[in-house]
Amino acid sequence: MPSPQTPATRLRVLAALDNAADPLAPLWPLSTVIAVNPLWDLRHLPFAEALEVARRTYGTSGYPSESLFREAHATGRITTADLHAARAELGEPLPPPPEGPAPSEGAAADELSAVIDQQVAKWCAAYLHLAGPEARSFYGWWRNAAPRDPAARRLAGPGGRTRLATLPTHPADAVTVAFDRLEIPEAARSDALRAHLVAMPGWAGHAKWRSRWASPTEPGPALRLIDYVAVRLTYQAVLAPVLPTGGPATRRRRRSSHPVQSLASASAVAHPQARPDPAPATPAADVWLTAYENHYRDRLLSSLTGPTAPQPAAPAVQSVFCIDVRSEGLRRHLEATGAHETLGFAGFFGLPMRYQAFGSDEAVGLCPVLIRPTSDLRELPMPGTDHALRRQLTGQVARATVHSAFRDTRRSAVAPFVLAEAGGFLAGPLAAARTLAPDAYATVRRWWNQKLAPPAPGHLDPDTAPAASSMSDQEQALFAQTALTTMGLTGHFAPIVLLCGHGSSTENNPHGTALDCGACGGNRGAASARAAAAVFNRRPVRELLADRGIIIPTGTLFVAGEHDTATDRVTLLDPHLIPANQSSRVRGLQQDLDAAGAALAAERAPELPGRSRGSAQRQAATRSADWAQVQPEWGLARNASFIVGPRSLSARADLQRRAFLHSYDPAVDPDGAALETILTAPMVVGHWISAQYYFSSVDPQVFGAGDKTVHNIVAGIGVTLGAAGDLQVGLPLQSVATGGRLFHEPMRLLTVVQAPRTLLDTVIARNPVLVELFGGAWVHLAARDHEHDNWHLRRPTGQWITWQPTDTTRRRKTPWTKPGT
Amino acid sequence: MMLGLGRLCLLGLVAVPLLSAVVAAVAAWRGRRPDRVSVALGWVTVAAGLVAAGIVGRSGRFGASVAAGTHHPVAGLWADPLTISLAVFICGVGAVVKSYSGRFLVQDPAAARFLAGADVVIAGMVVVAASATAADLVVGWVLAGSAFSVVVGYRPDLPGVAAAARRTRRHFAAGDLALVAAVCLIGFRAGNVELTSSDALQHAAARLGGLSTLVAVLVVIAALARCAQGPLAAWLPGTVSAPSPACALLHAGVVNGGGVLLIRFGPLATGSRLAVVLSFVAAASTAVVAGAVMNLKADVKGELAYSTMSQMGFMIAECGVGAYLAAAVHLVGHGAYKATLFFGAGNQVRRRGSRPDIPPTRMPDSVRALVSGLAAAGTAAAVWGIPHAGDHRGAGVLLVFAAATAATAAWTSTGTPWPPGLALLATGALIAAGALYGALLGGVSAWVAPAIPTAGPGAFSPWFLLTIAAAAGALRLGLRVGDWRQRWMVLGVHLGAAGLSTPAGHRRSAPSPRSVPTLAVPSWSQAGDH
Repeated sequence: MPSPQTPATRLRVLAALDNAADPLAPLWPLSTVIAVNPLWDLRHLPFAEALEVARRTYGTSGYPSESLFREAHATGRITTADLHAARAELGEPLPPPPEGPAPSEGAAADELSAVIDQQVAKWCAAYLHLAGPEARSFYGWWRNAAPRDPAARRLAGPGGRTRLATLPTHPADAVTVAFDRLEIPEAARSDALRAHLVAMPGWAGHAKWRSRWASPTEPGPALRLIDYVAVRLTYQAVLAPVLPTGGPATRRRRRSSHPVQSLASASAVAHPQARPDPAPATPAADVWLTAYENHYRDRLLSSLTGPTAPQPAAPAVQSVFCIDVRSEGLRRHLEATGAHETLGFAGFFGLPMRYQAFGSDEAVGLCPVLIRPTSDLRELPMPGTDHALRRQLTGQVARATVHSAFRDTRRSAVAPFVLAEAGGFLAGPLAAARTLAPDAYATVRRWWNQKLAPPAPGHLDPDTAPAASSMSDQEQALFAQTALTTMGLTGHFAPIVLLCGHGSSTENNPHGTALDCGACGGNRGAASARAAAAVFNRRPVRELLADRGIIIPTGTLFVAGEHDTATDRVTLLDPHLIPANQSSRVRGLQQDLDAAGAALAAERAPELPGRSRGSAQRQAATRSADWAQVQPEWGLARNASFIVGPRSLSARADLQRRAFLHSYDPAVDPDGAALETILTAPMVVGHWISAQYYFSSVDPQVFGAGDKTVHNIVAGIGVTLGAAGDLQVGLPLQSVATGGRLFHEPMRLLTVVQAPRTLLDTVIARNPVLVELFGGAWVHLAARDHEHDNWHLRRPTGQWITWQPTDTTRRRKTPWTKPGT
Repeated sequence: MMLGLGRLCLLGLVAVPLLSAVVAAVAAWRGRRPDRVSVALGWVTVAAGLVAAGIVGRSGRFGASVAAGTHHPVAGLWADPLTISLAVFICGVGAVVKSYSGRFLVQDPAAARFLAGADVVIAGMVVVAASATAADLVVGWVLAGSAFSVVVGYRPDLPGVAAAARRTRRHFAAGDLALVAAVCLIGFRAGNVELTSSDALQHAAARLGGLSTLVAVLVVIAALARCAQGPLAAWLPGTVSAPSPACALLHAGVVNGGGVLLIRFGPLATGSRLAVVLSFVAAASTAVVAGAVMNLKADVKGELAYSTMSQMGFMIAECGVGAYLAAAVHLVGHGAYKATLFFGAGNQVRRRGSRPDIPPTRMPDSVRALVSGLAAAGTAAAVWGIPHAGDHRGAGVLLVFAAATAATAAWTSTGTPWPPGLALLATGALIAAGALYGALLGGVSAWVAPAIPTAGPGAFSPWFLLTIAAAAGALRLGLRVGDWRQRWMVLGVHLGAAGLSTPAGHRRSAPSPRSVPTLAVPSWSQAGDH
């Protein structure tokens, strides 16, 4: 008999669930892939302890492989001196921690778990695909369907069928009923919930995203954590009496060569992996990792030591790029072309907005997922462009209609047969052309799209946004002031200031949005750049800024641009908004950007496997357009550090596209407000990205998305490997490795700041997240007060020590300094 | 001279892929990448096929065979408009798949093995398409099937792949056994039958006498297994676990092998009413049910697999009514279509904000019905107006399907309001598409029809194909009634998941060879020793 349910019981279940979901990473849908630290909700623990939790939960050590370290040692990437220094730093090795509750050996091969996984994955996919937008909760939907499911009827037997037909209506009640039926004691319920959540981290991660991160207006059926565990536990309660749950008899069966944790015994520790149990992480792995990181740190800090580079006295153009590591290469090459000053700032330019492009049916939140958009902005057509406008809209609607008509015809009852055979004679030759000449195919397609729906000139005017959510002049000025102060650009404005977002154009790439701007919530950065430029160019905003002491000369024009990181081309946006007297300057800027892009493409080309014909930029364009390409670009692979300071700090160094660069000038930030913003927002995004790459590299099986060649998109929100199963989390193998070797170097993020250390300590102390990240060794911190100071390292304890390069003999030539500087 | 070149090219269609397979196998053994050579040889094969086809067009049919004493060829290849067209298509599929794989599988340590296997599949399928004798055909058939089960399982470390390969092997083995038995029976009674003309097959059918029904049933079983039909369909859904190029090769060049078999054995397979009933019932019901299951599949590749099942059902049903030309057109067109969809299966993610805002107003249903009717009539008229387009068996019923397709396309695209000018243009485009389809049928008919076998006495009337349309339509309508929709949804989700034994906890599969080995933590002493 189901026990009587009270609100208190429900709350208890929800609280236990909340706690149980901690080791789980939220999984964003493919339309906006967001890099996350998979252990983010364990950040209150020090890094090593969080890995220990991960080891017990997922059966992964969480450290890079021994072979990686050995190879690094053989090639001098880790020197013996590094190892000694790391040992000295970490103190004498501790004895290995006592064994936790024995993980995988005890985990019986378990048909029950496999069956639950299979059934739940089937229904999750079906729910997201078939339930309409107005659908009830996943649990309610499933409760309606399951009693008719032949698989459930076959598996559950007659008794189970009755139970399926008499389930409670509220998912939390279903959880309690299942617990009672399985006789799991109150104390063990949180562990049991965790076991269910980590059995399929992908589907559970999707549910966690939906429950904790998605905006309430997010479209699509909502698969929430409570529904998810209710369905899983109900299957367990119904099937446990009829299915073997382990023991030798099960293990002999062929199907259970995929052992999972025994869900039937509630005390079993969640441990879905059947790999040979990784030994508990000894401090040795920590020492190796620290040595590996310190070696990089020493080389980086060496290259940042010495006289700072003089900045061009009167730059012709100041360009603000996203902090993304890929911007570093472009900035370096752009500076080399002449009188350019470059700055780094988060790619949403500090403007958290919901943006709706002209003719688009949905508004997109353009800001890091850590914050919520605060204002609405719509793209508007330029006045007097009615004809072009109608043309664009008509073309867009026609194209969309043809696509949807094709989709519907393909799914109709009678039409698919002739559609397929007739369509094939058209599609086949096109597929051959697309495979043999991706570049030419893309050119033709672009031309066709241009003909069909030529984009009409538009503009973003913050003044015309809907009144309720628009920004007042004061708010705009405040935003502008904050942005300029944070990046330390409060005077000496050049005649042209370029605000450059970024995005990536790739083909046939389910994880394509992972290459877009993380600061724009996994979207392209063009709209943010255009909106920010529009704000900066407004006269009222400039007047208010002048009142606050920031004088932007009348002759200064803010221009928006977008860097396509796959092709290394920079497009200057809104050309129709550029006044005639500035057009020659802008043309010059475009030429310099083209030259810088070509140089950057040439720098990137040797790193990418499988070269083709033509110039480096041509190759990049071909990769970008090629539907057979699994590695269109390296994205943020090899990212390693986050540098906060003026460009003069790093301008002499070739940072090899491994550093997030955030501009900062302590002189205009006496109270540390800007520094606080930088460390708590962009740096946390940088940490998420760094951690995503780290974990996807150290254990591609647990934290990575596996092989791209077998990715199978499910319900448009995720991929499975092959025909069915769990959604994949993290980055695909091809994003971190090549030729069987890691391309990414798994390290924790190193933050380098040029700012008074007392200020830094104050800022850290008043932000719990910084205390956790720096104190738990999730992120390393190095700082110096000013350019003539020595570098100092901040220990997790909060103590500062003066940095001394570990291995002086290896640093005689500093290969990271740019030639000619 | 010309014929010499033709024979050379014809033999090249089998020899070059085999050579390429050897090169790839050697490369695999030595740990090298054979991509360039393999792709080049793939396109050489296509060129050879085109030359041979040109010679067939100029000088008529020819063969390249080994005769033992008598005039009867023992083994060899036969080029007529039908066989050479099918062979060129298969080689083209192979060349595109290999070109695509060169980049797509750049990280794949087993890519050389894939390429070698794909070459053998292509060689085998060319033999099936262009063999001169029944014995030949069986060798090609078994070769292609076995090679494909290697191709589908070439990465057993990936989740679900090993199970899919096992299941494929089992089903293919059953089909292969049936075909071998059939050809042995034929050989026992009628010798090594030549497949170069319908007459030879009809003679053979006559000489088989009472055995002809058994032979026809065995041939149909082989075709149903290869085409994933009815009770022999279970192997297909799991194969989408293999990398996309393997799927493209399967759906364009292997799964339609059953159609090639039935066309080449034409009068034999349709000689028995029992065999025709068997194949038609299995195929038509698969066409209807798999087509409906397809709409419930949440994953892109699974949807494509069920779509293929449904399409193959239609094709086998076409063979059952003796509409061989229509079946040949369908197996080629569908193959190209499905390979394209598999190649681009990663393109199904939409960027946020990229969907245009379509006004929610719709045209009134009466207008939509009128436009659909016009499109259907216009398309039918356009197809019928093309010379030769109606010259083959089943042309009339195909016209009905074409008109229904045009009507559906018109109905689905008038869900949104079109500006009058554009609407006119779109309707024109739809009818023009119909005319192009007619031109295609007419052209193929003019070129291939003389080589198309005649249907046996057991074949149904082509109008039986309308039962598929009627059943599919009735099913869709029935699903709108009351509770049936929900019942079918649950059943369809169950059917669509059946046979995918991939355990959800796929991460527990063996680590892939390229993946970074897991950490065996270095001991402290090792760390300090250096």
